[in-house]
Amino acid sequence: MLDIANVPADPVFEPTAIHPKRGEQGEVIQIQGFNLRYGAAQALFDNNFSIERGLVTALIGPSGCGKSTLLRCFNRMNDLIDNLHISGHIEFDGHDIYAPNIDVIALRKRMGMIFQKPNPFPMSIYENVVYPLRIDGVRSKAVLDETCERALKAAALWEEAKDRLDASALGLSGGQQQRLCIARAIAGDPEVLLMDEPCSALDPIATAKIEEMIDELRGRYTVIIVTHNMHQAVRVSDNTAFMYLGRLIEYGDTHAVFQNPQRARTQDYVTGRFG
Amino acid sequence: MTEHTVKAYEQELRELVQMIAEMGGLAERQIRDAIAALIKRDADLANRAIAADDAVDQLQHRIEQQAIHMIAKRQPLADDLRVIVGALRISIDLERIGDFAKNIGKRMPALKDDLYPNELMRRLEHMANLALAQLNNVLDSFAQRDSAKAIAVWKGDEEIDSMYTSLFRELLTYMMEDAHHITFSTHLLFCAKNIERIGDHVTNIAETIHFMVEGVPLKEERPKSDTSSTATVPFPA
Amino acid sequence: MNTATIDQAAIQAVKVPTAVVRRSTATALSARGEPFMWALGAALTVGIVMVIGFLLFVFWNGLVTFVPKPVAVVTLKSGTMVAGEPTRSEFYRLSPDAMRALPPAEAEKMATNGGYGHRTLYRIGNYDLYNEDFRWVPDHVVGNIDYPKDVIFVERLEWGVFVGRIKSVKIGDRDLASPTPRDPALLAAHEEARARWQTIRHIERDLIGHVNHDLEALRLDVRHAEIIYGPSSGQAEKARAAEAAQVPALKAEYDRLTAEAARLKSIDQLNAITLADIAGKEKVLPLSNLVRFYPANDLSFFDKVSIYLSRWGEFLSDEPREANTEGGVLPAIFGTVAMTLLMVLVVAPIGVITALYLREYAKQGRLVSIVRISVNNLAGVPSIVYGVFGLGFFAYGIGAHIDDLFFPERLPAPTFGTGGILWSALTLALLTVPVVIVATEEALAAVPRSMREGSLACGASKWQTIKNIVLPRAMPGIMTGIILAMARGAGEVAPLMLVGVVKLAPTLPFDGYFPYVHLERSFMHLGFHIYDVGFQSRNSEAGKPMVFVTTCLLIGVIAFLNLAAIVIRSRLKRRFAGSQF
Repeated sequence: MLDIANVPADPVFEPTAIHPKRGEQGEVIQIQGFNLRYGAAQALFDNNFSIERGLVTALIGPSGCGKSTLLRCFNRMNDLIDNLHISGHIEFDGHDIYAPNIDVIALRKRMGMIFQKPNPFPMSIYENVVYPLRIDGVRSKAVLDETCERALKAAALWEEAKDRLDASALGLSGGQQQRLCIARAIAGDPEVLLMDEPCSALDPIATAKIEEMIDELRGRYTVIIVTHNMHQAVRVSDNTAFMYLGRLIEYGDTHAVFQNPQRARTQDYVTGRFG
Repeated sequence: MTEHTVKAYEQELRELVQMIAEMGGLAERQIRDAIAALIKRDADLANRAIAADDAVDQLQHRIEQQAIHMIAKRQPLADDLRVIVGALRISIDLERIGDFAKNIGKRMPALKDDLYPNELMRRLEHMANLALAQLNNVLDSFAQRDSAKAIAVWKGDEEIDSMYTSLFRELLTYMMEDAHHITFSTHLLFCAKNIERIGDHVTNIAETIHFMVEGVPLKEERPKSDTSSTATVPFPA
Repeated sequence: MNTATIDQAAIQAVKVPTAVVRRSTATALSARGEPFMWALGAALTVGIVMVIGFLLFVFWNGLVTFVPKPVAVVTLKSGTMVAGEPTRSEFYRLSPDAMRALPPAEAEKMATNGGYGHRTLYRIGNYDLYNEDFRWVPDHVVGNIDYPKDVIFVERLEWGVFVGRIKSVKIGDRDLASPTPRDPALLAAHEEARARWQTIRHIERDLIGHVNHDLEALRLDVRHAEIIYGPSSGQAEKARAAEAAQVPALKAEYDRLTAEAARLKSIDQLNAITLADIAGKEKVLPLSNLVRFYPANDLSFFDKVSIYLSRWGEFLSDEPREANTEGGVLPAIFGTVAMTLLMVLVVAPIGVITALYLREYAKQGRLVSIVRISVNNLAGVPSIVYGVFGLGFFAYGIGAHIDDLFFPERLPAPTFGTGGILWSALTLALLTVPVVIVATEEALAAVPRSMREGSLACGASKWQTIKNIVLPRAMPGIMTGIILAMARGAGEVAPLMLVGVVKLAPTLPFDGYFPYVHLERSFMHLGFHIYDVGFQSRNSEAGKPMVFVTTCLLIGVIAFLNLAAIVIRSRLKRRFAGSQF
């Protein structure tokens, strides 16, 4: 007979072994009063929250809620769009990234980005992985080789790729290509990894491999992952932010958000009651 | 609250809730029949109470299947998960309640021919009615998702416990008076114990309902007035 | 338990429509589209047949031109003899005068034919004797046609072809009377004479030319110093002194070479041949004047093949003579290829960089759209307009300024102030740059955005992204644009006529004198050569075969250039799998 008073807290969401304690490493990105507008259409309204260093944060929400837009603001990829207006601040490591004298390229080197559809370059696997170093001017073969091996191992691709580093990257399967893109992002030794729905184009086994890899990256990297799949958010993330129509509705510990959401709209979204 | 986008999901939840209600109704009738069988010394009522336990058991299995099926298929989160897990727990409690009712009904042949004071029977009946009322209220609170009502039920168990303790003492006294009283006293004691256990299970259900609705377990210490475990009656000199 | 009740009334209220639209099960012919497929196929076939037909026609006529034909000796009824290669024949309508002039028997025959007669065109050569190269001989005046074995066909340095017999040959102080065309002494003497002629040419053109060049350079130095520093300045004095010092030696060399040439020429005159045409008229020529001769009716198959190949060799490696109707087209080949390559060297970077700027860097707005539309419209401007622009802006505008600044000593003779290979290449580059720009822009746009974003997200700058990712990926498409530009540019003739192509260029744009590449020189071009030979020469009949041969060659040259570019492109394509172009 179940004794309700003594049931352990969240048996369904057992935390993984490697789990930096909350609040231990501080906050790496702070979003304050952030608004974003494309021409006349406003996409983000007054977002306020912080990303904790070393943890995995998930951004969830229905299509068009602005989660990808917000993600792309972190490394200023949205600069590529014309007619962009922003107000408010995003601070990375204490510096406002939209200040006029910010070196955008240096900012992007501290963040790695992985896109929804894998986008390897039409080069060999080796060249793909060492690309961030090449554009920095690194020529030493020893350094490049070592970085390539380290990054591919971190991306769980080393065993499959080590014998064909010179083969074209386009010959890999979809899941392998995505892991290659992650290896490429890691090779530049960033502090933050931004993942925009990295598994939506992949089969379940490839997805599982990437989730396993995110688990192992935790602690050393801060990971921000945008995902449509709530259960993936439950599985991999420590904190979850739920966004709707450009606004942040709820943000907090993943277990709390999914077991006992504070807002009715969050509740409706996670249980599939959305219209 | 809006409905689930997937209508089948909504339907399955509704079925689950309906089965709990049905099970609750069956359990209630079981208790009623069993007590009435004792009072009226009616064998038919007793048999009806005993036979009803089958249906209750079956319903418990069906609820369990439905809950497991829904967990696998729908991967529920938030309140849906709490409802399904809650329904699973409640079904177990209701099944135990049914078992206790059956147990009371089984004792009818043993008590049928005995002569014992009506006073005792009336007190047993009173306790049973209290338990029934509790069960009724807790089932209402489940249907209405009313955590305040559940808390009220949760607190109301105190009364049943005190009644049991006093009945316990009295039956001990009866047994010490005359050895001929021991038989019916023991049976009545067990019946009373069963009713007290029914009350406890109803309280369990109330705690589950509170967790279901509020999302946090009841933290307070359940008020316990059942001191029967330490009750002693001095032997009359 | 099903709690829904069926509302019978509701069901009754809905009426089934009585008019049912008939849908046939077979797909309509127009929907299936087969007639259109057939029509398209027919159009494609017609196009292909036309192209292949044209190519076959050109190649057949071109390849047949150099085959040595037999020489017929026609004895007319009047007794006159006509000798020549039969070129072609046709039916023709006699003029009324000619009809009246016919003897009655012939006139009757003519009338039954509906007034049509048949005549043959003979290439009689001997232009210096008769003032015409070809003659029509109507069938009805022909008495007898013969193919004597001793009649020879001679190609000469001047006056074109000679048809006749060898009367006598004088070699030094030996005389050969009526030698056969295969007489070994004659052939040996001819070889020697040709070699001597080459030597004379070498002395005159190359060695004396070298001396002349040095003399001219000294003179120009003096002029240059006088113009820049003043006639009485120290530099001018120095230049004049240098000139005075070197001139005597050069003049001595000049005299020596001239004397040598004169000596050889006098020896040359001692070896002469007397040719007699079919009517007996004689012509004396130095042996070196004969390029090739052979007994036209006495050739074995092997002889014909060897003559054919030697003519092709001459065509491809020699210079033209006789107003471009004979000889080779080497300068034209050279000019065409050089100009095309120069044009590609100019248009490729300009086109690619412009397209890069328009597509990648410029802020997309009204101004950029206007620029793009203007560039596209440039492709529709008639090419002769480009020629006029090239002449006015490049040659007379920029060229004149260059002359003033850098070559004042050569004035008033223009250096860059007139047409030349550089201005031609630039003009054609301007003509073909829209093609390159459009193709490059398309290729750049085809590079997926995801690839660029991937590179930028790695921390690459925009230029690094373009250099490492976008350009290599777009390279096959860019090559396509360059191939198209090259094909278009190599074939354009009209603008070239104004900016640098000449009928006969004295020198090639590249030679042994510094700076080795002379961009101001005029050049010859195969396309222009075709026009010139076909329509500007004195003798259009003689020119016709040359037109075909030169057309074959031009098609061959362009095809070769395109093939080379396509090979390069397919190599690039293999490296970057997935390219659309």
